[in-house]
Order: sequence, then structure tokens, then C-alpha cells
Amino acid sequence: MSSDETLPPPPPGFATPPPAPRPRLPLPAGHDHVVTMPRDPWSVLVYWGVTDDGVARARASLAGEAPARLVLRLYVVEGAAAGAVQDVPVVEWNGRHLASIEVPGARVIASVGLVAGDQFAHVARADAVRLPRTAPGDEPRRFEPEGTPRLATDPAAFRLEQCAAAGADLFDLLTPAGEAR
Amino acid sequence: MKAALCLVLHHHAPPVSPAGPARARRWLYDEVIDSALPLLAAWRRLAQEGVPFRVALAPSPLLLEMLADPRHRGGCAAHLEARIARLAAARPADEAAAQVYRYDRARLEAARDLFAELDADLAGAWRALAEAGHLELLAGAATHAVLPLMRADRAAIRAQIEQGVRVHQRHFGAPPRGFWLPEGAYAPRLDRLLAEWGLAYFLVDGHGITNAFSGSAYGVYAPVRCPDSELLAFGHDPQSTRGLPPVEGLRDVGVRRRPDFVRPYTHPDGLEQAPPLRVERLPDNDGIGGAYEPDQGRAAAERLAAAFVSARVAQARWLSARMDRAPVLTVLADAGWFGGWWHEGPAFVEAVCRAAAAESALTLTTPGALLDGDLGRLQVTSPALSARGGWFGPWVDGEVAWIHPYLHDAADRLEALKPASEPARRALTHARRELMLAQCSDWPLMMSTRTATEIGVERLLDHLAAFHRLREEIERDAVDETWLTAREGEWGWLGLEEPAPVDHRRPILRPAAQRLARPDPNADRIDALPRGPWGEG
Repeated sequence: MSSDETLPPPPPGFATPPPAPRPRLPLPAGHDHVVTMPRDPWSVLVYWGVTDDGVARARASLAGEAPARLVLRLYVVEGAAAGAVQDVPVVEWNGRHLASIEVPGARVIASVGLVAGDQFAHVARADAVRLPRTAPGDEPRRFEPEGTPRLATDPAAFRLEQCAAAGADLFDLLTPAGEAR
Repeated sequence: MKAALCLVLHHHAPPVSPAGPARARRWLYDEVIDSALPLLAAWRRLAQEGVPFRVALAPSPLLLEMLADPRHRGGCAAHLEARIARLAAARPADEAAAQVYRYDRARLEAARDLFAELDADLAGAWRALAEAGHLELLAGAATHAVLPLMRADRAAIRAQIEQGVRVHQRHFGAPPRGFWLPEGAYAPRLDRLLAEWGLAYFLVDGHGITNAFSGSAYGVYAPVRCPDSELLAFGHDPQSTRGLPPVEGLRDVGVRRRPDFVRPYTHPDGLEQAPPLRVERLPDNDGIGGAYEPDQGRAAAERLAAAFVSARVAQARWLSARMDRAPVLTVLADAGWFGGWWHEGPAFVEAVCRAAAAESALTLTTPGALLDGDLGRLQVTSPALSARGGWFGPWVDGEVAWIHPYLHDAADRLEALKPASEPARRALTHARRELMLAQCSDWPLMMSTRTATEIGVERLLDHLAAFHRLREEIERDAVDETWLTAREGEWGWLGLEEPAPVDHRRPILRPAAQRLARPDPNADRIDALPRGPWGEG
């Protein structure tokens, strides 16, 4: 029985384009990067890509000629396990790893770099991420002042065109200092 | 003060080309036939009878755009006819089966008549109900992307929100006030991006509220106000959905009935999902095993609805005794569940509307309507990073982890494209479309749940490959317009408008006279919030 039995054929004259060729999809190349994404309160997904140049620079910054190995280093910089460090051997220069942190709410920074003895030279470092919490945060509670009006109560009063008005750009607040838009 | 019950339903189907695989097209058409049309019929019936009700509906922009395409409309009508024809040709084994076949045929014929009466324009019908005050229509992300997983690609997130709002405005003629976050996924500061488009509130899973920065004084039973954007966040009340039948309990048809009995209800290539018709009795009837009796099924759904509303009233009374304001019970659900997975779902929703209308302690309303009333002094806090149900596992786990570097990289490369000619500009618009389609949350979900792995992989790779082909052509300023035209014909139903230049956008803050009446003594705490990438906080 054909799987198209209950469906009409594509409309007359409808040209199905030939499928896009399947090249090897390009991965981020030419720059060192590490990206961290929280999965749940206990783990993060980290992916990275490092270059020959990046590894060479890191190697040059290590003192001495001791053998060095490439690792993914996870720092817990805030939370119940602050100061904890976890090293994961890196065998692929473009790779990924689901890292178990087991500390809900912890702030984590991932870095790929060379470790030699007690030295560590990073090749690329991710932005910090915070794992989701499993409990309320500890900020003090506060409420709206008395008489706070609600947001625009008349939907018709707002039109997308209003967005064209010039004014302060809140994204300035969203963009960490030094990060290009 | 009456407690509020907000029922928020979300219609969605994975994007599919009008010439796409039959199985994928059926996901869309069955969503319309088994869920959207029966729900719409129920709401129109309630409106005609003058029953006061308000429900919030969030049709995904993808669904709206696909249903606006005449090829999909024609395909849906043809699929409906084909299902009717299959039932007409079926040879029931006994009178009980014949009765069920007749019932289902009558149901599908009613759906066909309604679809024809609406001229296949569901959006127009939803809009009419919204204008009559019965529905509140919400916007969503353009291609149902899990926004917090888009890393720090704020341009990509902005595009998802912007195009989603624009699709909503194009179909409904008015800007949305509320936003349905795909998969309930929220990250701190996402509210600021939503505020840019004049949205007033969004919906999150319950743990986003209960685990908020400063906790939640009222749990999920009162919205919270985000400190910077001033948007309100309503959290799903998990207690409310405990009264509904479990989905797994509804998948009994294919294993308990003879194949020849259920065949007319199943898809030709097998039992890929629960048939849209329940042929067993509901568990709270006299047991299972008998053929489905529509009247009994409807009566059972009505009893369940009455029990659901009474449970909400009891819950509201309990909460009211412990709160200084009327509680708000927010229930988020996939609309496709009502009718698609649960045959009596539309009857249940209709009965809930009727029961709530007759209830003095509870009002069935919408978040937008609540905003117009008195919600009391709201707690000011930022919801926590959260996602629907089980965090982000289905979108980042082993089977699908590989997709993120490709998606993030493509978003970066899109930003760097500088078209040098008119064909290249046209190609850029379509490249943006291909990338947004690749960002759809359905592909990784199909892979991780292994429900349609091959389709998920195929679609994701196809859209990414098309994106990179166009990117290379734009970079070389040598666009293959024949291929581009064909590709636009296949996927151009997703309308994209020229994005507003970043410098011309600004957050929609309240007019100065409406700003906080006096300085917030805790304003310094707002500035102290971490400003790192997504996931901070």
C-alpha cells in the first residue's frame, strides 16, 4: 500500500526542485571556540573547535618543554562546589562532551587548553553559563510599588511601526562589554 | 474576588513543503482535521449559544503560514475526503463496528463542511472569535526554535521573535500581547527581547516561576513581573493537568482491537500514532473491550470536565485562603492533544467552558484579560532558566548534540553575508528562511524521541545544505536563480519580512507618565543581575 494513498499528488505544474547537494556541512573553522549549553540542573553540553595556530600559541605560553596534553577543563566558579575543576581528555579538535556537574545553580566556565604538570594554557574559553536551579534563588523578595499601572492595556494602541522610533537600545544592556553585535 | 482559570492551547505542526513526504503532510492535515476543526466547531457553538468563555490560543507561525498556502489547503481538503472515502469503503465486521464507522464518517463530514464553510481559512475563524472576545491569540517564535539553545546568537533569536510577531500581525491584523515560548523554554533576559516587540506577557513552565531569582511568593498562582522588561510571566500549574487522562492511556486501540477493526482509522503505512478515533470505552465506564459508543464517550468527557472544574474550584478555594489575592491557575497544553491523541478532547474543552461559565467561584479567562484587571501588586523577579517538562535533554542529548555547532555557525555566517546584487539580496532572504527552518525544534525532537528520525535528519540537513549553497552563491555573487526559484516555490509559504534595522528598534517601555510611580528602592538590584550569555542566572 502506497504511503501516498490518501494524499493528492503535488499540484499540477508544481516543480519540486532537485535536492540541495549534500556537501560536507562546514563547521566553524579558522578560529578557536568553546560553547557551553546548559542541559539541566546537573549537566552541560560543551562543544569546541581548536586550530593548529591556537594550540601552538598555547604551547608557546607553557614554561619548559614538558609534554602537554589537550583537555577540556570545566571550572565551577560559583555555587556549592565553587573551585572544583574537572579535566576531560580531548582527542578531537572539533568535538563535544556532555559534562556532568551535579551542582544545580552552579556557574560553570569551560575551557579547552593544554595541561602540562600543574600548568594550564587555554586555547579557547567559553562564556560562563549557570546551570538551572532546582530551588528558588536567594534574592530578597520585592513587589511592585503601590499603584503601578499595567503595561499597555489596549493592544490596538501599539503598532509595530512604533518600533522605528529612535531611542535607547536595550540591547546595549544585553551585549557584554567588548562583544561585537 | 473570583479565581482565574487560564486555558492556553498551542497548535503546531512541523514545517512541510506542499510536495513533501506524505507522512509529514499528514501531521499538518490531521492536526487540522482532528483537533483544530473540532475545537473551532466547539467554540463557535458556545459563542452562538451565548456561553461566556475565554480561551487563549497560540497557533504557531509555521502552522498559520502553511494553512495560508492554497496548496496545503487543497491537500488538507483532499486528505479529509480520502479519509471519508476509506471509511465509506470499509466493510465492518459487525454492527458495533459499523456504528463506529458511521459515527466517524459523520464526524469527518462535519469537519469537511466546516472547512468548506470557512473557505479553508482557519486563521480568519480564529480571528472572528478573538474579535468577539472569546479567544485571545498569542504569537510564537517564527519556526518554533528553542530560543535559549540559540547560544548568544541574539540576532537569530531576535529574528525568531520578530518574524513570529509579524506573522501574527499579518494573519490577525493586530499585534499580539502574549508570546508562547516554543517548548516552554525560557532563559533570563529573553523577556527583554520580547519587550522589544511590544509584548506584554509570556508563558513558562511552572519551575521557571517557582525557581525564580527570588523564589515566588505565590508559586505559579500569580504572574510575576520581570524587573527590566516589565513583562509579566505566567507559569503553568502542573496540579491542574493531573486531572486529565494520561496520553499513554489513550494508545490502547491498536493493541487491543483486531487489525481489521482499526484499519480504517490508521494511516496506510501503519500504526505510526494513535488512531484519531477511540474505539474503546473510557476507563471510567464499565470497563474496556466493548466497541466505542459515541454518546457514552461524550458523556464521560463531560463528567471528566465537571470533575476538572470542581477540582480547580477546590484548588482555588484552598489557595484563596492562603493568598491576599485571587489565584490564577494557568494551564498550558498542546491543542493537538485535544482531538489528535484524545478523541473526546474537544468535547472535554467545550464542557470545561460550559462548566466554568456556570461556576461562581472561578472565571475562565485569558492572561491578556487579566492584565486589564487588577492583579494586585505583583512580585518583581526574573523567572529561572527552564523548559517544558524535562529541561533541554530532548534538544541537546547524544543523538542530537551534533546539530548545534552547525546551527550556531550558520547563524554567524548569515550575519556576515553582504549581498552585492539584487539576485543576491533575494538569495539572502531565502537563505534566512532556510536557516530558520533548520532551527525548528521538531527536527531534534524527532531524532531524540526516535519517532521520525529519518525525517528529522533529512529536513535539518536539507535546510542547512540549502542555506550553505545560497551562502556560497551570495559570497560569489553568482546566484543560480532557477534553483532559487524552485526552492522558494517549495518553502516560500513561510513569509519573511525585511528585518527592522537594529538601530531603529527600541524596547517598548511604558510612557514616562506610566512608569513606576516612584523610584524603585531596589533598582540597584536590577543592575546587579548578571549580564553574561544565555544561561546565566
